[in-house]
Amino acid sequence: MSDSDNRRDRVLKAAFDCREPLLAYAWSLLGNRAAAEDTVQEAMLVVVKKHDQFEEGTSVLAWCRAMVRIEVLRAKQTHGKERSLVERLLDDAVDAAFEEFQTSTDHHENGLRQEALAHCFEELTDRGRRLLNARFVDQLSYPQIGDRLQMTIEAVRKALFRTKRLVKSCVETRLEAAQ
Amino acid sequence: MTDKNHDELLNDLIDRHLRGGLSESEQEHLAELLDSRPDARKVFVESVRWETELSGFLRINAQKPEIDRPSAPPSRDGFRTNGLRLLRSMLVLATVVIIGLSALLIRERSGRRNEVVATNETDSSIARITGLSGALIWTGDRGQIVRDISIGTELAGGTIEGMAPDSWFELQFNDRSKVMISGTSVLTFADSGQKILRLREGRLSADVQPQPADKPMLVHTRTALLKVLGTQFDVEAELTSTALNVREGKVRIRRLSDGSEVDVPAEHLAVADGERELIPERVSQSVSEWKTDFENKRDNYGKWQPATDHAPASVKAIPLVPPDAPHVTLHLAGISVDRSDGSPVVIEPGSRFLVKGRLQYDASVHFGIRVAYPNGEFAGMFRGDLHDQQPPAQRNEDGDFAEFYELTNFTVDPAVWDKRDELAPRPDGLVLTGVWAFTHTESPAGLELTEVELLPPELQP
Repeated sequence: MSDSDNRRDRVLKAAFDCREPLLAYAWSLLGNRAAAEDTVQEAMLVVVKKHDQFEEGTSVLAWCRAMVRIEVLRAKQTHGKERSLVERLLDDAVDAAFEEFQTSTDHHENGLRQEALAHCFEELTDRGRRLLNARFVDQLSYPQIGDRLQMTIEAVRKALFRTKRLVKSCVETRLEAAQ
Repeated sequence: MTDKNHDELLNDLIDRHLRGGLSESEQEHLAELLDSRPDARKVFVESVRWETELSGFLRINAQKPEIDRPSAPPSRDGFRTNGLRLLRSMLVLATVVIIGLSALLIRERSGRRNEVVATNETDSSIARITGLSGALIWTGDRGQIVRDISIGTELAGGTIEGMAPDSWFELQFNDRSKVMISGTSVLTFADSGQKILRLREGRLSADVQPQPADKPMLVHTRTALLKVLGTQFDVEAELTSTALNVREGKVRIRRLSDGSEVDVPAEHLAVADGERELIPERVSQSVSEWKTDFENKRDNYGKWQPATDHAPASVKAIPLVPPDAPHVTLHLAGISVDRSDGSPVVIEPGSRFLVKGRLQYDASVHFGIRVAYPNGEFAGMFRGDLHDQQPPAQRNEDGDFAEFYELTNFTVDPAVWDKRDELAPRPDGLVLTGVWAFTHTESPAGLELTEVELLPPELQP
C-alpha cells in the first residue's frame, strides 16, 4: 500500500471514529436528531472527497466539525429556516463550547462504553426502559409520554432526568472499574 | 438560585434545546449561560454527547418489540423522520466507508458550491460595507456563506469573520454609525430598530451616532454586555475577558458573571473578567515602545507553544491561503497589539521593529504592521520587508534568528495598495494595532515567533 493510501486510510478511519461527536455537534445546532444524522452523512461524503486536504498534526475532529458546520448551515437554508439574531447568538455560543470542550474517543473506548451502556440499561426497571425508549426512540414529547405511561408532565420530566442520570452514573462506575 | 436548581435549569434547557423546544427568550438565556460560564459550556457539551450516545444505543437496540410503539410524531421544521432512518443511516455509512477505502469513486465533481456570490442589494439593507481588506467571510441569514464581498455591498445583517491578522472590515449603518473589526475577529450584527452586535472574539472599534434612549446599541461579548447611546470606543473580546476603551462619550458595561454594571467615561478603560473589580480607570498617556508577552497572551493567530527549560513561549506560524491567490500557501503568525493599561502604542518616526524567533529551514521572514488613527479609525497596513528584496533570515545553529525592520523602509502593504489614496501614506505617528510575520516557501519553513518589539529611536544603540 502506498504512503498516500496509508495516509488516506488513517485520515478516514479517524474521521469515522469522530462520527458520534460530530452527531452531537450537529444535533445541538439543529435541535433535531434526525436532521443531524442527515447532515453528518453529507459532511462525511465531503470528508471522503477532501481527505487529502487534511493537515497532519491538526485535529481531525475540528476539521470534520468545520465540514459539519457548513452542512448545518446548508440544511437550515434548505429548510427555509431563517435564523434570528438570538438563534445566531446561540449557534455561536454552542460552536464555541464545542471548540473548547469537545474531545474525540477512540474505537476501543467506544466499545467499552457501549458494553457498559448495555449492562446498565438492562439494570433499569421496565418503566425506566419504557421511559427512555419513548423519549429517544419514539421521540415523544413529555405530554405524549405522560399519556402513554399514565404520568403527569412534571413527573415525566423528573423521571427522565433521574433515569438518565442513573444510567450515566452506572456507565461511569463500570468504566472506572474496568480501568 | 442553588447549584442544584441551576443544574436542573441548565439540564432542562439543554434537553428542550435538543428537541427544538426553546422559546426565543430561553434561547437567549442559554446563549448567555454558555457565553459567561465555562462550567455551563462543559456541562452542555458533555450532556449533548451523553444524549447522543444514549439515543444511538437505544435506537440500535430498539429492534426488539418490547413495547407497542405508535408511529413517531411528525418532526418540527419539516425535517424528515421515518422508521427506516436507522437502516438508511447504516446503508449510507457503509456506502461511505466503501467509497473511502476503495478510493475508486473519489472524483472531483463540481457538486454544490459552498459559497455563493454576494448580491449588491438585499431586500432589507441595514448597513453598507465601506472598507475591507484581507481574508473575510460573511455569513448572512439562511446560512449564506460569502467570500466575495466588496465595498458598497449592502447587507441585511449577518456575521463577518476576519480570517487573518491582516483582515479588516468597516461597516456603516444607515444612520452613519460605523463599526470596524480587525484581525481574526468575529462579529454578528443586526438592526431591527435597535442595533445589536455580538463580538465573539477579536477587536472592534466603533463610532456611534446618537441612538434612541430606549434603544441603545447593544454589544454582546462572551463576558459582558455594552450599552451605547452614541460615542467612540474600542472593545477587545477574549474567551475570559472583555476590555472596553472609551475615547469619547460614555458606555455602560455589564459583567455577565455577576451582573455588576459601571459607566465608563471618555478616556477610561474597564475590563470585565473574573479577576478584578469592574472599575473604570483612566487611560495612560501613549507609549512608544512595546513588546510581545507570549507567556501571558495566548490568543494570537498561530499555534501557541508554552515556554520550556530551553526556549521561551512562542507562536508558530500556521497555513493561510490568501483569498485572492488560492494557489499560494503562506505560513503566518500574527499578534494584536494591546497593553493592559489601555494606553495606545504610537510609532515614533525613526523607530524600528525587532523580530526574534526560530526557523527550521532557511527562509525570508516577511513582516507587516497594521495601524490606526488616534480616534481608532483604520489607517492602513505596511510591510517592512519590501523596500529591498528580503534576504533569508540569519539563523544560528539552533535555528534562532533576530531580524530588524527599520520604519523608514516600511511601504504600503500590497493588500491595500488600491486604497492607498484613502489611507495614511506612512505609519509614523500612528497607533500600532497589529503585527504579523510570514514565510512564503514551497514547504513550511517552521517559523516560530518568540518576541516582537517596537524600539523607539531613544532605545536604539
